[in-house]
Amino acid sequence: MDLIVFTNSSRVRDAFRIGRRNRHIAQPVFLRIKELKKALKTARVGTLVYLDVSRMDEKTRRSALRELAGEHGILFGALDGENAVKDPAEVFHFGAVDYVNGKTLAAGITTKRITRITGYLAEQRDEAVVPAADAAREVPRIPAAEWKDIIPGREYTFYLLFMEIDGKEDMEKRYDGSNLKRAVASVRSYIERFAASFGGRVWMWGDFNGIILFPFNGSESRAVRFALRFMLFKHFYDIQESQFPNFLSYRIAIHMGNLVYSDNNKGHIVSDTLNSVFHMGKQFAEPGNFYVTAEVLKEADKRYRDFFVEAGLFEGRKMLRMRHPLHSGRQVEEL
Amino acid sequence: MSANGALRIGARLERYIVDALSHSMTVHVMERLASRIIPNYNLHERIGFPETVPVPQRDAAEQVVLDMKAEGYVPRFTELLIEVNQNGLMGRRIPIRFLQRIINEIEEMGYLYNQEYRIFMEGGQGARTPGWGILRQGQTYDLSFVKMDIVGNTKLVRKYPRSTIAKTYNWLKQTAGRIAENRNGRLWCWEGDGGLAAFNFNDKNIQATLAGIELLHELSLYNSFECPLKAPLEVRVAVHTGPCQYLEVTDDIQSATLRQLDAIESRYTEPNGLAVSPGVYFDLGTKLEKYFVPFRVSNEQFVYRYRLTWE
Repeated sequence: MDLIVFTNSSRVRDAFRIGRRNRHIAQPVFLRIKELKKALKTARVGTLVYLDVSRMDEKTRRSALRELAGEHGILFGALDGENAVKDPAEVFHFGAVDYVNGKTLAAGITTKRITRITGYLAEQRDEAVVPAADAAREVPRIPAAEWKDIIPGREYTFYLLFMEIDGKEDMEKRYDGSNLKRAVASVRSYIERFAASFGGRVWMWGDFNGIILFPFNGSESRAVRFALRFMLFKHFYDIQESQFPNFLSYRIAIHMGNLVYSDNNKGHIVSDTLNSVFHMGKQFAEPGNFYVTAEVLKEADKRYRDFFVEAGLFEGRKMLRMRHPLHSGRQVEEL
Repeated sequence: MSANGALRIGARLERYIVDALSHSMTVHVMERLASRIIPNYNLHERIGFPETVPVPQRDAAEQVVLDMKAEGYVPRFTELLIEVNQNGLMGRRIPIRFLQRIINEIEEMGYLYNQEYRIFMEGGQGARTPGWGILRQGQTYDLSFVKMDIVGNTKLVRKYPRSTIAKTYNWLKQTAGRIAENRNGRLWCWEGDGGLAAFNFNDKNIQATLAGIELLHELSLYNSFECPLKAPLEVRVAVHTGPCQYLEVTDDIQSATLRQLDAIESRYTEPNGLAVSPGVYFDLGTKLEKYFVPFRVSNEQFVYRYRLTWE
């Protein structure tokens, strides 16, 4: 079960104590209340959402509860640390599965409480609890230090990096087909060289986007290092090598997971992780931005965290976006 | 290297060039080529033959090579032979025999022929010299320079142990040297808290500026991931271009261009920022110049500034 908590209060965040080893309940993802509408759109079916209603007036609270009730497959509860709700039963009348008052909140919301809720749902409402997203599941890691250690046909843990050159439609309108093909091939070659210097391999590539694989070696995240440096240094390519007259923009998303490696990839790979990273890149990532899942960032050196800001949820996963480097106060694409 | 900074020429290379000239062109063409490098070059005069007596081809080739060697112009003359082999001379094709042998011989001496610049440059495993193996002692050249200086050096030296300072400053020196060399630049001097890199060739202003920007990028990452100081290491970087006399002992070089560079760096450059002079800025091209914002330094004078920050 995925768990999302909408609150602006650090006290409420601290109240959640979900065991990290629990295979059925994900670590909670904390988002600000204003992100409720947007985040609900991408939450997985079966997600348990807690909404902090303690600072809401009655009208806002009811509207928010109605919103939650209208989301098919979402379970929700109300957090009321200030005991502001005069009639807690009203929360259940909207369809909530839990209500937490000030005293309970102070005692902490534990794995036990969530398990009790899931038990109640299974017995009384006949609702199966959906397992947590990959991000929270204890997927066994299968590290490989280097590419030479990887044997095709076997399963390993990889960082999967989706990269797309933005503005395909516009470029196709502006440039002649063969010129464009040549210019994009040059960009791809640059990406390949850059990735190779961090141990990454372009695994599949269409015209404008593709997947770069980085073996998970259990100690350092070369994928994050690559992407951070790529976003910082990419304009050197624009100035020195690129055949395009403008600065190029890229969107990047990194996810991690296990897959059976094939070095003869003809696009027939079946992998949840691969699907997920493609979805992130195509449906979630905004042009010119680089995202990682919380799980990826957790594996990286702590010092990388300063370079990222929270970017909401996608398919039940907490996403983070890299802060933009500003050149004399502007992003490269704005120059 | 010889005393005037030129390449030391071996007997084998000499022989290859003599063979190439005598088997590929007439005496008249040899003279024409030689006079492109040594103005008013006159073979008869040099050999001591009267103008009416024809110079044998082999003798002419030997004399040309002797003169090129004496003046330190063998690499330049070879560059000219490569050009003639590719493009001909006065509309005539002149294939140069044994040319690849000559190139190989020069490359074995630690030089590489750079197709873009069409010159021999120090490369491969050979040692790098401050004058790229091309600049000649005492002569004046148009060069571009990058000056880097650590902000608040005195305070830092007082505040931190010597080993911490050495580690931090050494990172800056190594990084600046690597960036400069990757861009065909040379680190001319380094004095503890800062240094000077020189850039030559056609795109010297662009390479010097990109080196400055690259250094600031690396510094930003260094401050986040590696810097042992409690506060970020701050550096000022300035780029200027102009004439400068070349001396092999680069510490001895005095030049108005370098004095102007000092002024730009110390007066008009922000900590962790880059400032370039107008002469550099107007040579950067449409993409790179967009990185800069003008900063007025007097009524009619500007420098152009760049700074990396994070959203």
